[in-house]
Amino acid sequence: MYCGALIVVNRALRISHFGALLLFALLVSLVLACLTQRTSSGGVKYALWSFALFVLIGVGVAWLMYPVSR
Amino acid sequence: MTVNEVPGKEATFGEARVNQESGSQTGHRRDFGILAGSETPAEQTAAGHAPGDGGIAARHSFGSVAGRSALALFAAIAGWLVPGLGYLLLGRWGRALVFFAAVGGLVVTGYLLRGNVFPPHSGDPFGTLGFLADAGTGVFYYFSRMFEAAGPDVSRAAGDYGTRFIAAAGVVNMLAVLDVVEIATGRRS
Repeated sequence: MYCGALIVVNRALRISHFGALLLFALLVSLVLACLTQRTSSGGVKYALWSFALFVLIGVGVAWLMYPVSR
Repeated sequence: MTVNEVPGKEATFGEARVNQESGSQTGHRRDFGILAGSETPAEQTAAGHAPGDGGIAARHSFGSVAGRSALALFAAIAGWLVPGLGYLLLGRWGRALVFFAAVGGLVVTGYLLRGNVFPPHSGDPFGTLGFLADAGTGVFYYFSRMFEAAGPDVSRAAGDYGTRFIAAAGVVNMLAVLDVVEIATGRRS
């Protein structure tokens, strides 16, 4: 099965680093929004904001670590 | 609960302030909401203004507190075993679906990435912490062998990511269990 950055071969998932970051950020943002917000609109805003911060900070940390990666 | 004994004689239950002499509430929300669930507003008012009734504690039977605690415990265990089931028992279908999908998605992704699943007796503190985090996923923990037939592989970055996915799933499920307990006991709406 192939869908974007996700490939499942013999029940093992092959995913890019960025794909893993996006998936993790999406699922954890949803959960945190549900836990902390009591209204739908507040939850959607919180989830979007949290997702954006996960991705931006993740990419930022990756760039900071790039000089020492090899 | 804190009781203010300075003039004013107010006891505080969460955000609700209650005058101990009159029994009347001045706050906008009552904690222990389930305890008031069996009372109509008229009954609450009548009971609340009864002089010398001993305040809120006397108006709520111990039985309903115990029932509430039992419900919270049952919902917590159910929510731990099956992510989202605790919310389902409290009638929150939306949250139940979100949590089951999110926690299940994290766990299954972690297994497919061949993340490490910590055994109960690893003999090392970090392994024990890892086990506690993994065990937070409830029944998904016992499905690990089904998904990871070839076992974990943390020699690749993907396997390491998978380990984090599984641990994160367990931790967020435990947070959900705490949320379910707070809702069931009426501490949170």
